[in-house]
Amino acid sequence: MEIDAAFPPDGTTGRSLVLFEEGAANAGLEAVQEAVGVQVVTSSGENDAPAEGGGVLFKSLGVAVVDAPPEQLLQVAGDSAILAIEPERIVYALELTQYEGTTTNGQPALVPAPTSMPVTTRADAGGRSFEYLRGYRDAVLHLTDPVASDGAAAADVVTVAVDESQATWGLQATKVVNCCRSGKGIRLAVLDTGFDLEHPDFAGRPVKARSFIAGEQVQDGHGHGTHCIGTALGAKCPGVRPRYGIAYEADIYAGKVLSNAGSGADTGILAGIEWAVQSKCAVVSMSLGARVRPGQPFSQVFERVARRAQEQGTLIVAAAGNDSTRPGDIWPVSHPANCPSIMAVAALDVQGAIAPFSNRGINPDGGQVDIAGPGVDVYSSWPMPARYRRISGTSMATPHVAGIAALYAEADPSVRGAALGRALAGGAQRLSLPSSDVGAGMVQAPL
Amino acid sequence: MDVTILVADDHLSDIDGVAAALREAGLRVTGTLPSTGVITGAVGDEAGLESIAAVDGVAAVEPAQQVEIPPPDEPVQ
Repeated sequence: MEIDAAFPPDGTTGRSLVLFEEGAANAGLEAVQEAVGVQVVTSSGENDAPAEGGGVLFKSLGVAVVDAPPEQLLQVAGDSAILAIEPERIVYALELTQYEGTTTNGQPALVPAPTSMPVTTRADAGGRSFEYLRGYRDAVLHLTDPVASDGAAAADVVTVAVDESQATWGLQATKVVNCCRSGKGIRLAVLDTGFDLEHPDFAGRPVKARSFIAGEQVQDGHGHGTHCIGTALGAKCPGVRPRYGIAYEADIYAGKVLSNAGSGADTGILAGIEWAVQSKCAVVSMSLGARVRPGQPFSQVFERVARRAQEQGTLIVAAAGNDSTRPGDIWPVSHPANCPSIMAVAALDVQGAIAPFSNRGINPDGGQVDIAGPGVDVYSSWPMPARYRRISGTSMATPHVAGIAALYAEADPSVRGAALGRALAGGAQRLSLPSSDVGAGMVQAPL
Repeated sequence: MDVTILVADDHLSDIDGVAAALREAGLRVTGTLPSTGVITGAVGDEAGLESIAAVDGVAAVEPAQQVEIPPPDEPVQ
């Protein structure tokens, strides 16, 4: 039995969450009611907000929310029916309802619970709004998850409490927010749909840009490229919080190899890689690909090009592809990420689960997933006037790896090409998921 | 048909010579990429592929693949 005092009062509601021993909710509740003199009612499922001076018991969870701060419950903390008492937090509910993918039984979320004042979604003092109840449920789940030894309580959870008011969940899960590196002096090329050259978050940043699409300017008429550049290279302090960019002082090389309609071809991509190698970019990020059938070999041309690029100090990372619909339909890593010398990036969600669309290392002779990055519900820049957008895909995981590669490259000028790829894999956070799905694990910024 | 051609390691220093030989063999050259050792271009048909694959200094010939990303309003990109 412990009282969690780690959370500052200003991120809390003044109420307490009380977790009861299984089957002992009634006994524990009596002790609580006696101690603080409040009336706790059982949840009806309709009006679950505790009335002032009262409380609500969630019988199936074995959790009560009591209108009294944890300090007032100290005298019952030793009661055998009570497992934990914590302050009720104000939380921001990060919706993942579109992607009810594999959950990781018992595996902790990749992002710590909020430790600073989060964006509140509590809408009215009566506390009956949907948003309040949702945040409230998340707080309850946060309390019950670590105690539920078999993970059963977490198995159907599709939301996780994450404070994204200051930085995106991806920058937290990869520990970019704790890293002192900025990518300064490193050139990073993003080969994509171009870039919104007028985006206010990049005002004053030097940008080298080139279009490899006949008849189209670099200006991003799609959005995908601007989103990827935002993640890999966005500002440390953008005009509007949260921070979403990683290598905020790296040099931006925006190569347009996909048209505004989102299509491109090997010829333009190879020309873009050549440009990046000649420009001495340490990292090339390619959030693109073509579907590969089981058994289909990788491209000899791209493999040799990637090795030649590495020998000249350029590491290529590429999206593993979004062809899968897990759990039933899983496709191999896409072209050209399936080349052994191109780093293939899978997508994870905020809980550390593999994204349902993320491809798997199925084909022999290369074709493996090398590493994984945040790729579900990723917030980043989007062409004006929208400015920002949340989307998902291995396309979004890839620039996380590319941006972090620039941080490693800055940290050690001798680490380039294949060695940079090994540094990324070596520093990844191991996950309890098959390496065919996530490779070395979740990419992590250098210490 | 668009193709990508890998220039062999021992011909990298003479990529322009390889490109010239490829033109003679029927390739319409669209790009010569000396740092990565690639020549891009187009041929009329499958038979054209065979004749350019036989050119000295060519390590591999592949049909250029198309790549595509979803429209901007799709939630998964």
